[in-house]
Amino acid sequence: MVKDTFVITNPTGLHTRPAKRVVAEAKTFECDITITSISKGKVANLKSLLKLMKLGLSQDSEVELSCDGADEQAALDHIKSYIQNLED
Amino acid sequence: MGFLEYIVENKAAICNLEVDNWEDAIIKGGQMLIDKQAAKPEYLTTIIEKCKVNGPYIVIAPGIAMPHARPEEGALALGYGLVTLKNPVVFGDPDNDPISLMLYIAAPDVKAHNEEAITQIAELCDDEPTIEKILAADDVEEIYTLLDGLEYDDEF
Repeated sequence: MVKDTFVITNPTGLHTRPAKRVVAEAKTFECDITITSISKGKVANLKSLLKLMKLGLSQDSEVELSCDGADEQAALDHIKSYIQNLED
Repeated sequence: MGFLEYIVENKAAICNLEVDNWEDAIIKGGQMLIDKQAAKPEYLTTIIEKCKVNGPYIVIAPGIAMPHARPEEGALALGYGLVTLKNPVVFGDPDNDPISLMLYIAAPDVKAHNEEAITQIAELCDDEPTIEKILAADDVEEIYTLLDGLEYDDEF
Protein backbone atom coordinates (compact mmCIF):
# COMPACT_ATOMS: atom_id res chain seq x y z
CA MET A 1 0.00 0.00 0.00
CA VAL A 2 1.19 3.53 -0.77
CA LYS A 3 -0.23 6.76 0.61
CA ASP A 4 0.25 10.50 0.61
CA THR A 5 -1.25 13.48 2.43
CA PHE A 6 -2.10 16.79 0.79
CA VAL A 7 -4.59 19.67 0.81
CA ILE A 8 -7.52 20.22 -1.57
CA THR A 9 -6.85 23.53 -3.29
CA ASN A 10 -9.53 24.02 -5.97
CA PRO A 11 -12.22 26.55 -4.92
CA THR A 12 -15.27 24.29 -5.08
CA GLY A 13 -13.65 21.28 -3.37
CA LEU A 14 -14.72 17.78 -4.30
CA HIS A 15 -18.40 18.34 -4.93
CA THR A 16 -20.27 16.84 -7.84
CA ARG A 17 -18.63 17.99 -11.06
CA PRO A 18 -14.98 17.78 -9.99
CA ALA A 19 -15.81 14.74 -7.84
CA LYS A 20 -17.42 12.92 -10.72
CA ARG A 21 -14.27 13.45 -12.82
CA VAL A 22 -12.01 12.25 -10.00
CA VAL A 23 -14.13 9.10 -9.57
CA ALA A 24 -13.92 8.44 -13.33
CA GLU A 25 -10.11 8.76 -13.14
CA ALA A 26 -9.96 6.45 -10.11
CA LYS A 27 -11.97 3.82 -11.94
CA THR A 28 -9.29 3.55 -14.63
CA PHE A 29 -6.97 1.89 -12.06
CA GLU A 30 -7.20 -1.66 -10.78
CA CYS A 31 -6.03 -1.02 -7.24
CA ASP A 32 -8.27 -0.11 -4.31
CA ILE A 33 -8.22 3.66 -3.77
CA THR A 34 -9.47 5.42 -0.66
CA ILE A 35 -9.45 9.02 0.48
CA THR A 36 -9.58 10.07 4.13
CA SER A 37 -10.76 13.40 5.49
CA ILE A 38 -8.14 14.09 8.15
CA SER A 39 -10.30 16.55 10.11
CA LYS A 40 -13.35 14.27 10.15
CA GLY A 41 -11.42 11.01 10.48
CA LYS A 42 -13.67 9.42 7.84
CA VAL A 43 -12.61 7.32 4.89
CA ALA A 44 -14.32 6.84 1.50
CA ASN A 45 -13.87 4.59 -1.51
CA LEU A 46 -12.69 6.97 -4.25
CA LYS A 47 -14.44 4.88 -6.91
CA SER A 48 -17.88 5.73 -5.44
CA LEU A 49 -19.26 9.21 -6.10
CA LEU A 50 -21.77 9.01 -3.24
CA LYS A 51 -19.17 7.86 -0.70
CA LEU A 52 -16.88 10.68 -1.82
CA MET A 53 -19.69 13.26 -1.64
CA LYS A 54 -20.51 12.10 1.89
CA LEU A 55 -17.06 13.26 3.01
CA GLY A 56 -17.99 16.86 2.08
CA LEU A 57 -14.44 17.82 1.07
CA SER A 58 -14.06 21.58 0.58
CA GLN A 59 -11.18 23.83 -0.36
CA ASP A 60 -8.44 23.63 2.30
CA SER A 61 -9.55 20.17 3.51
CA GLU A 62 -6.53 17.98 4.29
CA VAL A 63 -6.81 14.47 2.88
CA GLU A 64 -4.87 11.22 2.83
CA LEU A 65 -4.96 9.33 -0.45
CA SER A 66 -4.25 5.62 -0.18
CA CYS A 67 -3.80 3.08 -3.00
CA ASP A 68 -3.49 -0.68 -2.58
CA GLY A 69 -2.97 -3.13 -5.45
CA ALA A 70 -1.05 -3.88 -8.62
CA ASP A 71 -0.90 -0.35 -10.05
CA GLU A 72 -0.85 1.48 -6.71
CA GLN A 73 2.11 3.79 -7.33
CA ALA A 74 0.85 4.91 -10.73
CA ALA A 75 -2.61 5.48 -9.27
CA LEU A 76 -1.31 7.51 -6.33
CA ASP A 77 0.82 9.73 -8.55
CA HIS A 78 -1.91 10.27 -11.13
CA ILE A 79 -4.87 10.86 -8.79
CA LYS A 80 -2.93 13.18 -6.50
CA SER A 81 -1.78 15.30 -9.40
CA TYR A 82 -5.28 15.21 -10.96
CA ILE A 83 -6.91 16.51 -7.76
CA GLN A 84 -4.21 19.13 -7.23
CA ASN A 85 -4.65 20.39 -10.78
CA LEU A 86 -8.43 20.81 -10.58
CA GLU A 87 -9.21 24.42 -11.39
CA ASP A 88 -12.93 24.89 -10.84
CA MET B 1 -30.88 23.99 7.66
CA GLY B 2 -30.29 20.57 6.13
CA PHE B 3 -31.79 19.30 2.91
CA LEU B 4 -34.29 16.95 4.54
CA GLU B 5 -35.57 19.48 7.08
CA TYR B 6 -35.94 22.11 4.35
CA ILE B 7 -38.03 19.85 2.11
CA VAL B 8 -40.39 18.91 4.93
CA GLU B 9 -40.74 22.38 6.47
CA ASN B 10 -41.12 24.25 3.18
CA LYS B 11 -43.28 21.59 1.51
CA ALA B 12 -40.74 21.53 -1.29
CA ALA B 13 -41.61 18.20 -2.91
CA ILE B 14 -43.62 17.27 -6.01
CA CYS B 15 -44.85 13.73 -6.54
CA ASN B 16 -45.12 12.10 -10.00
CA LEU B 17 -44.45 15.24 -12.07
CA GLU B 18 -45.21 14.75 -15.76
CA VAL B 19 -42.37 15.88 -18.04
CA ASP B 20 -41.41 15.35 -21.69
CA ASN B 21 -37.64 14.97 -21.38
CA TRP B 22 -34.64 15.82 -19.16
CA GLU B 23 -34.64 19.53 -20.05
CA ASP B 24 -38.34 19.75 -19.26
CA ALA B 25 -37.69 18.00 -15.92
CA ILE B 26 -35.07 20.60 -14.96
CA ILE B 27 -37.33 23.52 -15.90
CA LYS B 28 -40.67 22.24 -14.54
CA GLY B 29 -39.29 20.77 -11.32
CA GLY B 30 -36.86 23.66 -10.78
CA GLN B 31 -39.68 26.21 -11.00
CA MET B 32 -40.00 25.59 -7.26
CA LEU B 33 -36.63 27.27 -6.67
CA ILE B 34 -37.81 30.32 -8.60
CA ASP B 35 -41.20 30.44 -6.81
CA LYS B 36 -39.40 30.36 -3.46
CA GLN B 37 -37.02 33.10 -4.65
CA ALA B 38 -33.99 30.85 -4.22
CA ALA B 39 -32.91 31.21 -7.86
CA LYS B 40 -33.36 33.26 -11.00
CA PRO B 41 -34.85 31.58 -14.09
CA GLU B 42 -31.41 31.61 -15.76
CA TYR B 43 -30.13 29.32 -13.01
CA LEU B 44 -32.14 26.49 -14.63
CA THR B 45 -31.22 27.31 -18.23
CA THR B 46 -27.56 27.46 -17.16
CA ILE B 47 -27.82 23.93 -15.74
CA ILE B 48 -29.21 22.71 -19.07
CA GLU B 49 -26.45 24.47 -21.04
CA LYS B 50 -23.77 23.05 -18.72
CA CYS B 51 -25.16 19.53 -19.16
CA LYS B 52 -24.98 19.96 -22.92
CA VAL B 53 -21.37 21.17 -22.74
CA ASN B 54 -19.96 19.01 -19.92
CA GLY B 55 -22.19 15.95 -20.11
CA PRO B 56 -24.77 15.09 -17.45
CA TYR B 57 -22.67 16.17 -14.44
CA ILE B 58 -25.80 16.41 -12.30
CA VAL B 59 -26.53 12.67 -12.50
CA ILE B 60 -25.11 11.29 -9.25
CA ALA B 61 -26.49 7.79 -8.75
CA PRO B 62 -28.69 5.23 -10.54
CA GLY B 63 -32.03 6.92 -11.14
CA ILE B 64 -31.05 10.17 -9.40
CA ALA B 65 -30.04 13.63 -10.69
CA MET B 66 -29.12 16.65 -8.58
CA PRO B 67 -29.64 19.81 -10.67
CA HIS B 68 -27.40 22.58 -9.34
CA ALA B 69 -25.07 25.25 -10.68
CA ARG B 70 -22.57 27.59 -9.12
CA PRO B 71 -23.82 30.25 -6.69
CA GLU B 72 -22.92 33.09 -9.09
CA GLU B 73 -24.87 31.45 -11.92
CA GLY B 74 -28.20 32.68 -10.58
CA ALA B 75 -28.64 31.36 -7.03
CA LEU B 76 -30.26 33.90 -4.70
CA ALA B 77 -30.73 32.02 -1.42
CA LEU B 78 -30.51 28.54 0.04
CA GLY B 79 -33.27 26.48 -1.55
CA TYR B 80 -33.95 22.83 -2.21
CA GLY B 81 -36.55 20.76 -3.99
CA LEU B 82 -37.36 17.07 -4.35
CA VAL B 83 -39.31 15.85 -7.37
CA THR B 84 -40.31 12.35 -8.42
CA LEU B 85 -41.05 11.93 -12.13
CA LYS B 86 -44.10 10.06 -13.37
CA ASN B 87 -42.15 8.85 -16.38
CA PRO B 88 -38.36 8.51 -16.04
CA VAL B 89 -36.15 10.60 -18.37
CA VAL B 90 -32.84 9.77 -20.05
CA PHE B 91 -29.85 12.09 -19.52
CA GLY B 92 -27.31 10.14 -21.57
CA ASP B 93 -25.46 8.66 -18.59
CA PRO B 94 -25.42 4.91 -19.36
CA ASP B 95 -24.45 3.92 -15.79
CA ASN B 96 -27.37 5.74 -14.17
CA ASP B 97 -30.20 6.25 -16.70
CA PRO B 98 -33.19 6.41 -16.58
CA ILE B 99 -33.70 9.13 -13.94
CA SER B 100 -36.85 9.23 -11.78
CA LEU B 101 -35.74 11.35 -8.83
CA MET B 102 -34.58 14.98 -9.09
CA LEU B 103 -32.98 16.76 -6.12
CA TYR B 104 -32.66 20.52 -6.77
CA ILE B 105 -30.19 22.75 -4.96
CA ALA B 106 -29.57 26.48 -4.97
CA ALA B 107 -26.97 27.81 -2.54
CA PRO B 108 -25.68 31.36 -2.17
CA ASP B 109 -22.08 30.28 -1.52
CA VAL B 110 -19.93 27.28 -2.29
CA LYS B 111 -19.31 26.31 1.31
CA ALA B 112 -23.01 26.07 2.14
CA HIS B 113 -23.42 24.12 -1.07
CA ASN B 114 -20.83 21.52 -0.13
CA GLU B 115 -21.15 21.06 3.53
CA GLU B 116 -24.81 21.49 4.34
CA ALA B 117 -26.52 20.12 1.30
CA ILE B 118 -24.36 17.69 -0.57
CA THR B 119 -23.31 15.54 2.37
CA GLN B 120 -26.91 14.98 3.41
CA ILE B 121 -28.04 14.34 -0.16
CA ALA B 122 -25.29 11.76 -0.56
CA GLU B 123 -26.50 10.05 2.62
CA LEU B 124 -30.03 9.96 1.22
CA CYS B 125 -28.98 8.67 -2.21
CA ASP B 126 -26.91 5.93 -0.59
CA ASP B 127 -29.96 4.80 1.40
CA GLU B 128 -31.51 2.61 -1.30
CA PRO B 129 -34.53 1.32 0.66
CA THR B 130 -35.61 4.93 1.36
CA ILE B 131 -35.10 5.96 -2.27
CA GLU B 132 -37.33 3.07 -3.35
CA LYS B 133 -40.03 4.18 -0.92
CA ILE B 134 -39.83 7.81 -2.10
CA LEU B 135 -40.22 6.68 -5.71
CA ALA B 136 -43.16 4.44 -4.80
CA ALA B 137 -44.99 7.24 -2.94
CA ASP B 138 -48.39 8.23 -4.39
CA ASP B 139 -48.56 11.72 -2.90
CA VAL B 140 -46.30 14.36 -1.34
CA GLU B 141 -47.56 13.79 2.21
CA GLU B 142 -46.20 10.26 2.03
CA ILE B 143 -42.81 11.71 1.00
CA TYR B 144 -42.79 14.24 3.87
CA THR B 145 -43.61 11.51 6.39
CA LEU B 146 -40.76 9.38 5.04
CA LEU B 147 -38.21 12.22 5.11
CA ASP B 148 -39.32 13.36 8.53
CA GLY B 149 -38.52 9.92 9.93
CA LEU B 150 -34.95 9.82 8.61
CA GLU B 151 -31.98 10.36 10.86
CA TYR B 152 -28.56 10.73 9.32
CA ASP B 153 -25.38 11.52 11.15
CA ASP B 154 -24.74 15.19 10.28
CA GLU B 155 -21.45 15.14 12.15
CA PHE B 156 -19.95 12.89 9.48
